[in-house]
Amino acid sequence: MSERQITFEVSEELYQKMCEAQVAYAVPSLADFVRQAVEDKVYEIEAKAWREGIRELQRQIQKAGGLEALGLGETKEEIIENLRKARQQIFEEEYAHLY
Amino acid sequence: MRICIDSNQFILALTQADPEAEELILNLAKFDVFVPRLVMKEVTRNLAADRVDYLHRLIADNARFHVVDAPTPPELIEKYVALGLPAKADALIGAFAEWMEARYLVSDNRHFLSLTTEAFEVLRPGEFLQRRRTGML
Repeated sequence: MSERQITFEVSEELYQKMCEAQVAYAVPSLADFVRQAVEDKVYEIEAKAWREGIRELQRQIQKAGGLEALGLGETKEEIIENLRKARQQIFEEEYAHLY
Repeated sequence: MRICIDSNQFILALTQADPEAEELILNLAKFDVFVPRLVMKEVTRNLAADRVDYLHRLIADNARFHVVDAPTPPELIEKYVALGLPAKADALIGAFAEWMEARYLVSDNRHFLSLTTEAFEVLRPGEFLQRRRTGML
């Protein structure tokens, strides 16, 4: 993975807090601490967007008739079994020649 | 930590037919998820085109979600046929999980749940979530 070096400015107060947190969490360097904090924040934003996206997809599916409209059965067991049949069918159509 | 998710979890979650599958899928962005293209085809097969596009966009925006197109090694598929997944389509999922070095395969498919392999553990969504809550993953 390629890397890019960046510089940024923080207040003296935030810098002190970063240094204290780095020591408290036993992170080897301040750069590692900041990298980890930024990664965590990016993952947090992605996780929130994912949740909201899945909720929106649930709303769309519900609006279009929900489970019944998908034609995969009415109970959990029926859904699982029908999906398994679909897997077998897709496999036969698209993958069987590979194996 | 890598995990594989079976198609039934997506459908059970998206249709809100199972609260545990729903919780799992809502929290999926917190894990490194690997699924073969076959699983996504099963999931999208019964969805309308605009919802398929929406799901694909969601996945594309999630850096930790990987849909793998490369063919799973045939020798691993044979291994999982021998381990008790006689349908090659199911064996492919088991083989894929091992190939990706996943630690868990999350599914409600009884054929997977009765599988014994040293490569990964098969858990129902509730078991997976419980382990996560108790720091046992």
